[in-house]
Amino acid sequence: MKDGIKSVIVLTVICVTVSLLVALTNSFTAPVIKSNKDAAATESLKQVLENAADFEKLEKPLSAPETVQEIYRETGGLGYAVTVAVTTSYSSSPMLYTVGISSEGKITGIVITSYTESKDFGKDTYPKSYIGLDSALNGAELVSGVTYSSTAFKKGIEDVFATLIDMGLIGEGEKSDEQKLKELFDKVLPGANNQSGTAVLKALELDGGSKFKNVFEAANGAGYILVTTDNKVITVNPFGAVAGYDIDGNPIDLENALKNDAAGAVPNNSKEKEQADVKALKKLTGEKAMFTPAQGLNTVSTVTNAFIIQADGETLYGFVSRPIGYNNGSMEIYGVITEDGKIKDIKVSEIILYSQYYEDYELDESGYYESLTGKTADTLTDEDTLINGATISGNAVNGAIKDMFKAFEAITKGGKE
Amino acid sequence: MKTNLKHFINGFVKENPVFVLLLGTCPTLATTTSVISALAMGLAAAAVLICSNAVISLLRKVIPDKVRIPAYIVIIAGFVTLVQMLMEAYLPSLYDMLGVYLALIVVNCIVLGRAEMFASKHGVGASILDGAGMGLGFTFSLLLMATVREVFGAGSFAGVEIPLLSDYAIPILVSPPGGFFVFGMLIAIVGKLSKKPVKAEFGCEGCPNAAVCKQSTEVAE
Repeated sequence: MKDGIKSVIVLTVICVTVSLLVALTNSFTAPVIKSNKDAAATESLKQVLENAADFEKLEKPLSAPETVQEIYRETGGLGYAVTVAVTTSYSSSPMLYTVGISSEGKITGIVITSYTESKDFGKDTYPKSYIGLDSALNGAELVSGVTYSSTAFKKGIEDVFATLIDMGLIGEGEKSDEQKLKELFDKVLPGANNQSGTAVLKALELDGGSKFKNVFEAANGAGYILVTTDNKVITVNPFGAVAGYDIDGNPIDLENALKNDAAGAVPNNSKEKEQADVKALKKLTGEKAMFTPAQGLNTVSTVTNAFIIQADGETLYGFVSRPIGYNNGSMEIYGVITEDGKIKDIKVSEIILYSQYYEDYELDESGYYESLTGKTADTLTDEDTLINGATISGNAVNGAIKDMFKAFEAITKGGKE
Repeated sequence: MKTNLKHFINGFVKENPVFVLLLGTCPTLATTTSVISALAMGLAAAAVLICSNAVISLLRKVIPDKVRIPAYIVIIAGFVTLVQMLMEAYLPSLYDMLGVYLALIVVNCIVLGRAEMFASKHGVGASILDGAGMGLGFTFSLLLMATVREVFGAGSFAGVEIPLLSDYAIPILVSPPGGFFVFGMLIAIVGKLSKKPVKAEFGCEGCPNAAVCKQSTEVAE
């Protein structure tokens, strides 16, 4: 008993003495550590804004995007330094960088402070290509081979400009028509977008007498984009539905003649595709099923073909979706939905396994499809399609199934969205 | 005086903590990629060893046997925290360089081992000399290993490029497999030089600390 009490007292005294000693040391090292950290932080800010003297931290607006971390104003009025954290599709650790923006609204410097993925991204050369650009980012290109990293990087810069413009600190830069069109392409034909939101298009050759200055075909067959000489943008979906937009992305009514010209200017090989798709879908429904093409669908998505199917006295709906997956490759997903909106069967083409890094990856296909059977538009979750080691393909499958449900809604509600 | 000197020298050769006792392997492999980080790690550990040995020796008659290990750990952790704070404040670049390994000195077998085996059984003077010998022996071992790894692996010494060698560097030496390779080679060389055959059986007799341990037991008696 006596020993026990002595042990407690001795240990307590030692703990208290050590704590006091640590507290005493902390009292004089803490201010030094804080000033060191402040100096290091200011140093990175000074690197992006040449000749900067000192910085004051500004309050970040609540509406600012999550990517924007901290905003500093140079006390002499030279401009602003903003710290950014963006995540890419490939990495769980964020890419951290600091952007300097002059008071005239132009990028003065960018320093990447932390980035663990894609070393070829070019810490030095790529960020330098942004120096001198304003919020229009005219001339900012993505880097082939590291598309996801450069897309995330560019998105962070756009967020910085949007925040500073919203705060009324800088003016907006003027975008060129080419830029506006390029940005519009990513919005008007979402089915053609890859998983980072960029449209994957190929330009078609035009006849001499064409009324259009450019015609693009979605690489996955999700439709066409046509640009008139006066910069109107027209989309034609795989079912022949035509829509028009002005250069700022506002929907416009098109004259019938222009609509017909647009529909006539794009290649028509739907019959061949239809037959191939029916053949593939019959593997899910049985050979005896009767297929009727669902015509005039005005959905703009990854769904490239849709059918109303009669099989064993039951009405089913068959869809073919071609989302852009890994490495901008087009995947093929065949789905059959029952009349009450439940997935009856899904088949993903094996391109999901074709990946530079996961050549030996094997998907437990039966388990994967079984987990999707019976899901509805309301019960489908992101986890249902997740494939470890093939996240981009898994996300593409998820988007494709959601698009099928939208097309199903459109058909069952009379062909309108 | 002669005994004290023996305590001090033991840590360098006969009971070298790294190459003979094979203690502190984790920081040894992790921080010997450069001479500067090895030196910083060695000196930080030496400072903790000397201070903790002194305090534990001073309190050896006060600390009850039942709570001696928790008491030693609290004292060692206290000194490690002090070293951490001081380094972060006054040597921030070295602090960043050592990272988590600085805090891990708390669980370094050398520090607790010397507290339990030596400081708790000897006077303050002898304990300080033992801590200094072991600490400097540890530093010397890290420096030796870091020199081999940095000079041949990176072609530089303490960050200064060595002409010719820098063109023929063997990068694997600064990577973890190279660390194990150099570590093994140095253990073999030290073993050969000390001409002490490795005993086939383990146990008190086979332990490199047997002599000290026995001596300590006798002193205590």
